[in-house]
Amino acid sequence: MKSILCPTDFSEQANHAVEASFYLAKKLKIGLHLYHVIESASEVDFNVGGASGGGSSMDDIFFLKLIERTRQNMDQLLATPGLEEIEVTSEIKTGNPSKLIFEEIRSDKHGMVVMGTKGASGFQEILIGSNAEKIVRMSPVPVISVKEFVDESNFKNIIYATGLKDDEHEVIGILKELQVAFDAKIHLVRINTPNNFQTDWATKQQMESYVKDFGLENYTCNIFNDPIEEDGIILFAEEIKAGMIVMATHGRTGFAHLLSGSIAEDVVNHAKRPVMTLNINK
Amino acid sequence: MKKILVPTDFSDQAQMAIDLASQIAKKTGATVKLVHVYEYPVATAYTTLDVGGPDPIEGELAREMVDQNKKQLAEEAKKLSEDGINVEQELKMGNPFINLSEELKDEGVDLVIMGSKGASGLEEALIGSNTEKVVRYAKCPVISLKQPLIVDTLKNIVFAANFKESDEKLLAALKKLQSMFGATIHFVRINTLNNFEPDSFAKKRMKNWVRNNKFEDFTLRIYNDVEEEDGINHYAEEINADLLALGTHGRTGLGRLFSGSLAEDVVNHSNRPIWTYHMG
Repeated sequence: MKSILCPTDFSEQANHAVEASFYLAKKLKIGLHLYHVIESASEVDFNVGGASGGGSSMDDIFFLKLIERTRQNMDQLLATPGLEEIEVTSEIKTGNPSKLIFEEIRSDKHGMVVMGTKGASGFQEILIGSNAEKIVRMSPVPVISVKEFVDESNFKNIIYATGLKDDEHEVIGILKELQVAFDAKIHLVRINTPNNFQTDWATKQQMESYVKDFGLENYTCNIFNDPIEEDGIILFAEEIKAGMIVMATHGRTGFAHLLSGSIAEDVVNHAKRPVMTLNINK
Repeated sequence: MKKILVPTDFSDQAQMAIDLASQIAKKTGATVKLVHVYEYPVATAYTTLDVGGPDPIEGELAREMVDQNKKQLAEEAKKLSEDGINVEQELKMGNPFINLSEELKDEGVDLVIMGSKGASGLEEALIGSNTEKVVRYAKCPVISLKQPLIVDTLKNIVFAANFKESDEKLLAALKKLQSMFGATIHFVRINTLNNFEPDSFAKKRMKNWVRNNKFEDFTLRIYNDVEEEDGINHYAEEINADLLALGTHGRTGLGRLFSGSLAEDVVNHSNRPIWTYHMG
């Protein structure tokens, strides 16, 4: 797998994402790229040679101070104990944060995105709220959304919320990589709602051929009843004290999304544990 | 366990019931009471209303049949007592259902074991089976079986309920059943579209229910299916249960016609032995 991209705004949630990235990078034996964007109308790359020229107004002075402080923040982050165990690179850019982060995600340089999300409330920083959701929906690589403190044990008990469809092989591939790296147990779960009600015997049969087709090992099969799919995933995760949730999202947008709802985004907003999503309708 | 009542018509199914009663009697020291009801042929019953009185030829035939049945019953009883089991035997004449109901009023009987063929289709719709009627009227638990059952291999009992109410007599009987076989009880709630409940509610309720009723050696499960009856049977299939246990409300008359009774449907359509207790 290619490196992990960890966009950071140096917030508490972003730091939790760095924690998570650290364990992932270490166990998957891949690099970590810390990425920060300073919001600015103009896109200036000062990464190499310090401040870029142009003007001498108060704005520029403030901007230079901001850059300096950002560098300090990044240096501080890079000095986090433990990070020396993995291969870390960092980058600071100016411009439109969500645009640049999307570009970076799509650059084909990274195999995975790990980011902090703060949930539905609040929109103080660029990486939280709806932008995180947009990334979840649009990213061509898996996205792990982190809200709270994460350690290695989070990756040892993984829930895979599945629709038991055969278009999920890409998710399964990543799931297997995680499983090998962390010696994890995978808990397959299908949420049974009144709208997609299925008998247990039918679901069990489906699950059996599903795990056989995908060659899963060290797993449990589960069915959980709830009126709302995302609630069911969260409640099930609570019940079995799972450390992480993995699911495929079909990248629904706009009108269809409003009507049918995309479970993945709701789970990201309400689950305390890390949630890994992969859009399989890229 | 004091007395086990086994109605017999000398069929293979009845023999299975006797075999089970014999095994339980050996375990518990209970008396086995064999009852056969000789049913008058329908035609004979009608001729009694005629001016000419009972047909003498048919009367003779009936007497012969009764003698033969007596002999058969005595043979069954002898086999049991040779095995060291206390046996009582009784031959009755008339309507099996009415006569069995009288037997069932006997306070001494604390278990009924019946062989069942399992009616289905038209027969069930028109007349029902005697087994299901007995299930409905017995004051004690009834075990009905369609296949031979070996007591020592009986380890897994499925008990299906909604876990909303607790009938003390039913629970006491269920615990007695469990300890008699030293089995695990698998409590199951069947979740259907019509009574859909989130697991977060139902599981909590089930947990409280088993805790409040002080059960030990059990598992809890919620099983989704189209109908409750299907769910019970499918779940029993999944865990390869040895026995199904159900509490019944035994609706009768019109209620039965319109709503059906879950226990009776399960009795008729499952191939596993079924233990039922009528909650009155």
